[in-house]
Amino acid sequence: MDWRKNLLPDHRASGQYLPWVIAVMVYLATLAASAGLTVNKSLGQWRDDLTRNATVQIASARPDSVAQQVEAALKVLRAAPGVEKAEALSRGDLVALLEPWLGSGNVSNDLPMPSLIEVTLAPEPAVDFKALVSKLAKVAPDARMDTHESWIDRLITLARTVQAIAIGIVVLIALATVAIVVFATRAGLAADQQVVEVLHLIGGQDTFIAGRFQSHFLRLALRGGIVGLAAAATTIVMLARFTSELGGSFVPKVHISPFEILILLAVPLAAALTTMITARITVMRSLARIT
Amino acid sequence: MIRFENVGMRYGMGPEVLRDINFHLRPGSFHFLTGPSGAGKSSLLKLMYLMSRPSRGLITMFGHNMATTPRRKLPALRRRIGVVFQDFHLLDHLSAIDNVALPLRITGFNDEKVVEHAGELLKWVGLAERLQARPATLSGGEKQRVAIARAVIGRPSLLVADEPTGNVDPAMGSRLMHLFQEMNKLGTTVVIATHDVTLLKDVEASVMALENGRLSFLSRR
Repeated sequence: MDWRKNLLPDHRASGQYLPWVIAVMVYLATLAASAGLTVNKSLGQWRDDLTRNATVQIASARPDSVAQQVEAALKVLRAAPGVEKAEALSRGDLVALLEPWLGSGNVSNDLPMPSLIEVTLAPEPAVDFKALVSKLAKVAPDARMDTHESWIDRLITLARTVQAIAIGIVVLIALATVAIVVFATRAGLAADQQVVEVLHLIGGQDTFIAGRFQSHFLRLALRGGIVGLAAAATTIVMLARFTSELGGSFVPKVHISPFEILILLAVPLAAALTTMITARITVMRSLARIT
Repeated sequence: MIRFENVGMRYGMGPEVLRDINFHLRPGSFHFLTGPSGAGKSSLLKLMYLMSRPSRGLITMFGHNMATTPRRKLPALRRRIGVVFQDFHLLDHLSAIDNVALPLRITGFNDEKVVEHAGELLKWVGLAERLQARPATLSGGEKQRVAIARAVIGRPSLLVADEPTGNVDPAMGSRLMHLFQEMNKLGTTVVIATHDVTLLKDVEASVMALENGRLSFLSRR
């Protein structure tokens, strides 16, 4: 066995709890990173879904003219460049949309409801909404077009906020890890003062002494990182199963791609590297104060 | 080789524990340092093995002015100095042989040869059966011999020993003194701080005496 590994005593107060602290930090950071990645992916999906859809609503005080306006609007919509599909929703479809709020069978037949046309947009060419709205106004004066723009904007703002919070959490965890490692290293230096002093007096370079501490802390951090990553992976798998069972297009699906797995694997490695570098800098600074 | 000129030393803002120390130790010379407890012997030795810096005066070690030598160059100078500490300074979690091997190991010597050499030295100081023993299981005398073996394994240019025979029986004491003399013949400058007046009679050496932080020469060789 390499004699360097035994140079610092095994059971030291400074290292006893550090792997567990690192495990918790890695667990939280991995979950935060995974949340950020999931929201990012969902945001793309939501944006695609919403920007490819529009709704035309026709509500009139004269119900007899609605059917006529719907027919005319459908003709205009289907002829417009960039519109892939335009379908009027049946009364049954409208009732199905209301049922989650009013309850099944509670929608009476005489409940006045607007007519809705679901418009699916083609990726290319882009629809000239201004011209389309103008044409619609001529043939169906009671038609109102909703492009979900305000929805998309609010959704993007929400998603960006969630991402910023996730990044903030990862940064806070990194800072907390650095602070904990500084304390642990100083405690280690104090506990191993005799070892440091002997190595110093027999001619050990500062880099050599710091190297022993950094290797020691790297081992502790890797141990904790693996435990934290395993716990985070278990949580992510459970969430993935839960969200896939839930269904619904607006519930973010937790699905991790191979590239994202690499990013998440980097979390414990980054924690280990941060720990190692922090320990080295702390020891080097402490040694610089000795003659 | 080692020159102290008007050296004074104090701890923090306290009084001077060493005052106007002047001496020159030639390469291959042998010296005893005596004086009552609290006279400043340990402080003087600390300056010699580069554990402390003087408050004033000039120290030259192996041709290097210690006031201007950068900190990064000190480890190389420390490797030329073997130290036997009064309280041994052995690492409790390492075996006797690993303690002795340490000075050569940190310099990157071939580990197999280092272990072989450390083993031979421990045999020479009568600890052949205790190579793997931890310091906690060794007697005071055995610890002292391990500390001496560690101090001499790197064939230092300067050997500084603080009461090296204080915990051993007279026979072992004279055996250890013989080791120091052999090293001295090979060119090592030896400085031994001791209360043991019999040592002063048995070995031909300069005798320096410290009292109230001031150094005087009782005999020069």
